[in-house]
Amino acid sequence: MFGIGREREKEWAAFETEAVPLMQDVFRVAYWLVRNREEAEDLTQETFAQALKSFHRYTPDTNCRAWMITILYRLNGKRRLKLGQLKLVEDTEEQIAQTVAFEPPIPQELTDEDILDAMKRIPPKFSQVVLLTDVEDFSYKEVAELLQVPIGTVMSRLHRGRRLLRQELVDYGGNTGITAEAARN
Amino acid sequence: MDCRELKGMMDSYISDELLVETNHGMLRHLENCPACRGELAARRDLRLRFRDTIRQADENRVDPVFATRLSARLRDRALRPNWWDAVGAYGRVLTAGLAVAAVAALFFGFGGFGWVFEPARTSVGDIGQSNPANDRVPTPELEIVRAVKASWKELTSKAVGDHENCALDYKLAEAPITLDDAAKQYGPFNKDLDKVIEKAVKTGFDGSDTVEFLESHSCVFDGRRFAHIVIKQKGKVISVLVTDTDLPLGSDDIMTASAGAKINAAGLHFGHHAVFVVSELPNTENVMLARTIAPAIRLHAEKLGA
Repeated sequence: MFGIGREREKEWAAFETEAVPLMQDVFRVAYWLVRNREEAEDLTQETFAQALKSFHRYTPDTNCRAWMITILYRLNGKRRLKLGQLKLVEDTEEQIAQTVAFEPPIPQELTDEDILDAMKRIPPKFSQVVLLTDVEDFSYKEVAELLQVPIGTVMSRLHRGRRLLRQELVDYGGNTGITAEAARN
Repeated sequence: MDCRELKGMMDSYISDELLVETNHGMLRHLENCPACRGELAARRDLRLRFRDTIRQADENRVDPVFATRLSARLRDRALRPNWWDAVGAYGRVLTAGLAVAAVAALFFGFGGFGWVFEPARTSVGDIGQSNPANDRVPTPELEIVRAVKASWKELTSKAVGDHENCALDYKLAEAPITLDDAAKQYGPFNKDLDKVIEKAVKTGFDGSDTVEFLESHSCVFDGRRFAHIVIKQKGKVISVLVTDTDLPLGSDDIMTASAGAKINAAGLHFGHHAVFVVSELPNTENVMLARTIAPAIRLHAEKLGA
């Protein structure tokens, strides 16, 4: 009966099929971005509201997840800018990471808590890249676009992030601190 | 390749990012080095373990209540008639101020865009049909007028649909929820809305002693959520329906409509809400009831800043 109404229903049906099922993924990325559940919920809500508003710009059956996470990062950038949290100059985090040269073996006895705690102790700059690559399966190119940094930076942060994660697991997690295999050598 | 070099490239090896020649060099080293084989296996396991742990951790799982609420809000927002969306390219070039001014002038000037202020009637079945009088002047203002008119008709049509499918036939696709739950999920405006309406009817409606309050809840018809208070008078079921709207320029003028031979609707909108009284009673009676309850609902909304 109503052209506009039908069009709106059609668009909602597409959004419900492609975007709404991604709520868990969007929330997870938001949570590790802001590391606070309430803020992550706010960010998730803003992301979905913005995505709904801009859904006509999304090409159906392409990578909706990457599109949503891009919106999430942009909104978070604006939010941080508002809060004065954006750092324009590289801080010492990368330098600190570079100093981690020695790599002890990964502990064998790790609990989920050890892993989550280790992830929380890594500077966000590195944990974000590890999360987006190793958990969310984004390509280097996609991560570079999300974070608006060169691919080379993504690769180096990922390398350092993984190494920091292992270092944290050795320092705080696990009981043995050394693998049996390594102990024999 | 020695152990140190190999460890430096291990992550890239696991991600299958190395050149074929480098891969071969690594494999040759791994064949003869149990320590590196152990480290490689440990890193591989850690990668998988890390991924599973983060994905399944309770602390980064979305709260189902939040997810349900957000989905409902998005759905509501997506399907809510949006007068501005309906405005054509012409209308979008206007400033908001001009638009509102134009709507104001035309709304009152045209006597409600062909909708009939009480006690006259028009038909919901007419929705979507063009009005030759409006077709004559294709101005930007008229585009807006048409959009608002279409949105109001659509809103009225859904209110009538909700009355038919919820109050009369109980065949809604989605089960209604209590107004208290709606208050938590969709805004505090829903809370005690039934009491506000009941009080308004009992204190200000002629014949209030013949009114029976049957039920109150929040329900969805055709993508639109209504606070729904079902009452009965003179053997007829009456629906009082309140819904969100972003239509501009609310007023106290009540517009009436008829759907088919039996059902009549009287509605008005103010602030962010539209109120409808839908029943098989004559429109004059629907209008009287709408007039009685509208000020109380408006006051309720203003108190809550809704």
